Amino acid sequence: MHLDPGPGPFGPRDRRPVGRRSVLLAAGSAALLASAGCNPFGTSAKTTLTVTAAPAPPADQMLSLIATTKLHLLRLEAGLAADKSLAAKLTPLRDDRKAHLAALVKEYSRTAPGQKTANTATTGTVKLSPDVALIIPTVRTDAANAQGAFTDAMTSASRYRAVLLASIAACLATHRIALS
Amino acid sequence: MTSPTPTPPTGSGATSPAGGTVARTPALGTTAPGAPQGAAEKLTPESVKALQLATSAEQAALWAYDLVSAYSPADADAIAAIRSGHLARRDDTVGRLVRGKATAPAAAPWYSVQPVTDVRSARQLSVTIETDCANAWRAVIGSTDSAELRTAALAGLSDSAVWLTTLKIAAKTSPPTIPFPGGG
Repeated sequence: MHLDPGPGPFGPRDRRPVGRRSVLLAAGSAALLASAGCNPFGTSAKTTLTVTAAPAPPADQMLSLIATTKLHLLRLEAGLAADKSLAAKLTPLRDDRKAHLAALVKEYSRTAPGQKTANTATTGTVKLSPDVALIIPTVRTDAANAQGAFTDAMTSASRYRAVLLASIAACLATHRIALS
Repeated sequence: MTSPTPTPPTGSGATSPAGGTVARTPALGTTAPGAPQGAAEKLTPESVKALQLATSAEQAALWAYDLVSAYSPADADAIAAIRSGHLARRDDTVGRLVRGKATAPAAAPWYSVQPVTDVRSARQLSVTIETDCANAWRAVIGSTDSAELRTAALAGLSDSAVWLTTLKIAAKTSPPTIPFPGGG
């Protein structure tokens, strides 16, 4: 008895062996998918999701200048409290720095109205050296450091802000003269 | 009056952009020592105008300090140093304008200033001079986005503020400083 398999559901059976090209093509495709991070045999639960976080907003240089001004204002007030004989020399400088702080906070509030991190309040106390002879050199060094900071900030600021920062830098130059 | 203004002479002369009449100044067009040579700097019309005003303020300062020194012999050394500073600044500014293909204003032969009759009025004139120069240099800073020009203008602003403080300290004026030099 001869058994004929007959035609299959898709026509006569093709007994041709799988070609080398087909094998290489399948292997190449699998490797490509694997290198791309796709697993055709995996489930959707294993898919890697890439989430791009929003960058942090750029820091406004005004905050650093405001902080510096507050610190130096505290030091001037500490110097005044430590030695009353320095009042004639330090009081005008302290008043200048107060005016600077108010102007800086106003300018910062103008450009960042939603921010509430800047204000003119100087909280805390700063201790200077107990040697009163070091008060003037300390305050003069503060003026020099602040002058450098304001000069650097002035070069890259907007025109309106640059004018303010330059004026403060020039004032700090006069403080160094007044303290010499 | 807030600033020395050029006074029209009775003789001949060229008309300055400010409306006054000016004399020929041989130093104009020269480059100050230490200034960058050769490189033509691009200047915006706004910067040119501000630099021209600063040049005029420096020229007025040079003229006025001759008058101040005559009535304030006690400050002679300080005034001589300050005048030299203004001279160098004027020449540097003129050089900057020329390199930027702009016209540098010439100096007036004299300026109409407040009466100077004694040391006090002479010192008052020096306050006016330095205030005007500081205002002019502050305006230059607000006229440009160039960091180099801003830095140069800040040097002019700071120098005027420091010289004003120096003279105030010499005159025992209190306070010797102002919070916003050039602020008007």
